[in-house]
Amino acid sequence: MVLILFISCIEEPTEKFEIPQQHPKLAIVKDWFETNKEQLRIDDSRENFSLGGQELILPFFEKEPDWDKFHIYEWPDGRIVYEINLANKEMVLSSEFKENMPQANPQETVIQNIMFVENRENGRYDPVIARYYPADEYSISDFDDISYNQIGAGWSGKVDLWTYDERYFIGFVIEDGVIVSTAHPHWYMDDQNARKLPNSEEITLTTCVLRQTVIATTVSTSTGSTTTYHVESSIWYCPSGGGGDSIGSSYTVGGGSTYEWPSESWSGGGGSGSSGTVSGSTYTPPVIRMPSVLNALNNPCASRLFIQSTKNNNFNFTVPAQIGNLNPAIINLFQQTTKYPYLIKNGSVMNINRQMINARTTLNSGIITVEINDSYLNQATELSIVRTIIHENVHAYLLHQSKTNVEFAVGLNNFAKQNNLNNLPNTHHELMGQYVLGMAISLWNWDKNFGETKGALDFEYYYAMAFGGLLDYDTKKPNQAFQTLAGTKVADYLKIIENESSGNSNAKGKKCNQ
Amino acid sequence: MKKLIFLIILFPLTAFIQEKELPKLSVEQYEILNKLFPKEASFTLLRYTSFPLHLDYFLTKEHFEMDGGFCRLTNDPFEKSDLWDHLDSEDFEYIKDNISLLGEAYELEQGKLIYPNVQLVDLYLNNHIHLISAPIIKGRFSIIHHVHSFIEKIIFFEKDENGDWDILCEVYIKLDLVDFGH
Repeated sequence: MVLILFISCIEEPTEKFEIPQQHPKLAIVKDWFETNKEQLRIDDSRENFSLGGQELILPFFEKEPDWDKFHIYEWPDGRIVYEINLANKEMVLSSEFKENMPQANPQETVIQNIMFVENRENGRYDPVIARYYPADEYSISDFDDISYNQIGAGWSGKVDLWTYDERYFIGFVIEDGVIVSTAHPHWYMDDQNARKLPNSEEITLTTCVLRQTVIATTVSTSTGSTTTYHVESSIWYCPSGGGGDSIGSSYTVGGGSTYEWPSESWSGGGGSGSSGTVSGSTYTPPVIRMPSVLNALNNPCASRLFIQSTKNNNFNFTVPAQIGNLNPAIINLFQQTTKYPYLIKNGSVMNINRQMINARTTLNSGIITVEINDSYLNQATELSIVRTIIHENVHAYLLHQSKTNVEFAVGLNNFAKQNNLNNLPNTHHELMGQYVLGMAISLWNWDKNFGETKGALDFEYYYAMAFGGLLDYDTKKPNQAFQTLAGTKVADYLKIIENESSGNSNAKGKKCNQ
Repeated sequence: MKKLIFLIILFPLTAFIQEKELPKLSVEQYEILNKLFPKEASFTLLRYTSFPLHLDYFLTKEHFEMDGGFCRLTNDPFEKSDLWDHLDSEDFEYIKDNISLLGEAYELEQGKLIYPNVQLVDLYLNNHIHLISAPIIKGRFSIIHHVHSFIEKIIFFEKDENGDWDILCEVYIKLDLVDFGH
């Protein structure tokens, strides 16, 4: 792991821009930060670039938040997070970033933010630094497109969190929206069992690695630039003994994991136990949760289809969405919302009464989760799988709206009563009659851009597919919406859905596993 | 022949004992049950009520907040996170503390249900069948446990000023929106 401190001098713009009106709560955070920023640094880190005690601490530089560029969101435990872009010319780069994108201009590719995490108990806003290193050119994002709570399905790269005074906290390697490994500072390994949440399914594999840290300081002026380097090496944690820091490589399933900075009383073994005094109470970095990512499909084909289905969001989303590319709009909604994160994964979904379950959408520990059945993925065509993803995402959307929008919840309740629907699946599936056209357009849009048939099938074929799943919960027969909209073509449409679902010789799409 | 006579005598006797052993629901409990489903809905219901022992585990403020969404969707809705405060009373405390003891099996009587399209069955042979508890009533609150296939929830009822029962809130224990293939 190589870290580079990159400093450049960029000419100040001479043009004056109109300053957008700030969010009222942001002004409170700003005032708090200006008042308390001197107390946010830990005593023993005020000396520049200390690697003493085996802890990775970078040289401190004063943080300069650009208060006009911000994200405000809420974590599931109710804490509000204010994530502000840093205007600093100093930038910390990782070796992975330099290897992946050697030609990239860090100022245009790496995003460096400060997150103020609300601490209601002590009336303060605990800061951490978040850095986003894209792994490829496709993952280069604007500030508006990525935040700790909004990492898209197709994003690949590394997200590193540092304490305000630049002590390494936690890092996540993300591939196509999936967290594939987690990097921890040395103290994590010593205390991980004590800190692991009961519901965490984290498996940590420890490796022994030599770490090399390079601090490069580049100063650019009108007459040229000068760069100075400082290299430090240290041994990462080894299971058989030896000192140094550790790196954990882990795969995390589901959500709910949080990461806590060690308390002062725990600070032995080379740990710092960072603490200071802010507003009369002891300062510690905030408890951090996992970043919100969307895609946990470990079936490569399904993951690709999901990512493809979220693209081409060129239409305005209307409710009810009868026209427009519905699926990307739903995912976009989840990327912007914070109350109920969205997760998609595959797995073994239980069969019931000898009937195949293609997929299910659940609200699980505050996360709206879409799960696609492995056996279905193995037999269905890509067209069918995208159809199912779109269908489940409409469930996710209806679930989200009924949990967050009281008018929608009341309307859905009235809809159920008026139509004598005695359970939520039937209510969703009847209401989905209003979304069939939008689902068909989404499916056609995917096929046109990525599918085997390039959108050349008769549009009625996509329309027929969009009725998939509109069945009565108990009888498994086409529901009222299906029968009303499809009319005399119900049997024809069911056959099309069945052909693509089973991937038989009459299917138009190609199988996902081919 | 003796065996046949013995069975003829024994069968109604056994049935009689079974019938005597299961208590009947009160008029007020039927008032609540008759608000549970849309009147014209078609569904299959197990004739015997039951009550799970684990239900008190879900009667917590944390679980209400985790489920999220809204209560009292018919009149003056409020957030489910406020349900705990709304229920705050000795009556609810009593239900919560005694729920395991209060849960008895009852036999439903078709004639006392208002649903014309309900079918009562004796055995829980498939997941289409709705399984409900008897309403537990204490003061102005009542709760019912309801299982239907992949969905399990607790339904809270509240009695209004006119003495009418209405659904206060539905809190899900399990909510799987399952989509079947063919």
